[in-house]
Amino acid sequence: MSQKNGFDLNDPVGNLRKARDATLDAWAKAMIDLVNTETFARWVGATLDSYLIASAPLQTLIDTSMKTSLARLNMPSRDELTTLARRITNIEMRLDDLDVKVDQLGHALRAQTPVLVEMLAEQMEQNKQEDIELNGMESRLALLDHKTDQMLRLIERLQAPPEPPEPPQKRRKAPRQVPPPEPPTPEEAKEDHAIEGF
Amino acid sequence: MTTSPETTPFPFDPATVARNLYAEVERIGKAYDAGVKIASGKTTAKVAQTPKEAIWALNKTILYRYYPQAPVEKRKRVPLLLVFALINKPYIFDLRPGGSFIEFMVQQGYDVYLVDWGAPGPEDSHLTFDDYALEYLPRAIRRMQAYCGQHDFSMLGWCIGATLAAVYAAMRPDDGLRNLILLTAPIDFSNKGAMGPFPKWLKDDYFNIDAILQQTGNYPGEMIDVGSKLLKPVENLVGNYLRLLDNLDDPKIVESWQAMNTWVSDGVPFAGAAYRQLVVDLYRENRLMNGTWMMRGRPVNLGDIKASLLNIIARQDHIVPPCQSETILDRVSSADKQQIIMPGGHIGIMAGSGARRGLWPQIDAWLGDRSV
Repeated sequence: MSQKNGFDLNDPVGNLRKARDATLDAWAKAMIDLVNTETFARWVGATLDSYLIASAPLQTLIDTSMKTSLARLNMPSRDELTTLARRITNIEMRLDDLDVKVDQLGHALRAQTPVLVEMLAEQMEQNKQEDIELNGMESRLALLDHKTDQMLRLIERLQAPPEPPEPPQKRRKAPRQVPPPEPPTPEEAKEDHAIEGF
Repeated sequence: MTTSPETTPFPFDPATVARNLYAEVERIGKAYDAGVKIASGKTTAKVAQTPKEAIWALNKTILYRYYPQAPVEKRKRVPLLLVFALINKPYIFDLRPGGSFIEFMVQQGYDVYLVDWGAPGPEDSHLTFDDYALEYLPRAIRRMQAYCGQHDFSMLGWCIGATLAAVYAAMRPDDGLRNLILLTAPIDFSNKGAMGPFPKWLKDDYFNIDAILQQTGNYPGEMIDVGSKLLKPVENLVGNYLRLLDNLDDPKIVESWQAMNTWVSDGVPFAGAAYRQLVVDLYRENRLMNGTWMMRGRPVNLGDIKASLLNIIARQDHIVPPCQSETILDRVSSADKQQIIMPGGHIGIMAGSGARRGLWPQIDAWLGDRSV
């Protein structure tokens, strides 16, 4: 008989595996039960606490020396970079909001486009009519202007007195010269003398 | 030449034993190369391979859109937004070709979008659930709606991503959310006895959250990883590696294992203020279920959820046990609501090898009718 208690005597490696798996299963179940106990939970908590207590002074020391070194090297500290990163995220959020608003505007504009095109066409047609009317008025005004000019010239001719005979040619005046300066008064002369030294 | 136990003085057949031993040696020979490559880190798993583009970013958060692959007539009108937890990275939705939920959904014709929360830095330690659910998520959704030109959308949240999705659905019920899928959602923290070790570990008496955050700012990814692994220590720390060792000669299994291991080890910190809320407001005080969780001055009322709801529970989930998810169905106002319980664990239900034939078609079937 090569089969005994589920073990195949012809397969020693297979048997070893089966034994291993059976052991592991038992071990696994025991461990699952163990981690599910209050004692284990207390142990995990205590381990974490001791780790925190042990590492806190070292971490403080590292943080302080790092801050000092970075400050000496004129470089930003971790806290400063963290603050900066948070500010950048806030800006990103605002940009995201703006992006959405631009999109919404774009959508609204696209939705309104047919209405706008129609309104524009109507306005252009109206402008065309007004242009024609304006051109007519302009030519009539120009005609009226021309006639008014003619009338004015006639009136001027009628009102003008007969032209007198031409007078003999006058001698041309010599150009005005700048008069010579008057001599200063005694008071002015005195003042001039007083400021002469400056 | 063969012998039989009857003809030998041993209770076994030496020839068969020799054959089996030889087969094992041969297997080890084949596996050696793969083992050395993995151990030396020379092979890396190719994850998140479905083609995508980033269409929006804010701080560390990025919104991706996956390129459509289905023919036009097969495409669904309503886009699908995927929201993952604040723990680990969201490429678990797109783990590897052939094992990717996103790839599957894109092939079914969905217009898929994914929110990647990124890795919070020290400057993000003040971020809360309020910020994620009511600031970042609505902005990402606004961008998605503008991008695809659809007001209605579906949202699938997984783990804490499902909590965020539920909060959003409750606080903004009229912003276009049509279908809500909650996958292993931690919502109800009342049944502490059935919730595994987390409620014990996070008790006020043992876990000094303020002291930790004072030193670390954010809750470190490594601590989250250790915490998750300690839930099943032997399986996670020993069993996983033995499974790999047993299958090193099978490239398919090795590839799958590596992809999952890459994701598990690729943790991100949890924003400090949000982690505090998770521990104090949810685990300790169960405020979301009690209706006393205040966000931006308003209580989050799950009764305000009106969208069609599909609540998915993993029966063997040890991270978010069924009792944390199943009670939400009684609270929401949705006229169209359904709950399914799938065999599997917290991650395996969605990223395991059986998901392609198990959960994914069910999600597709439920969502397909509601996405036209």
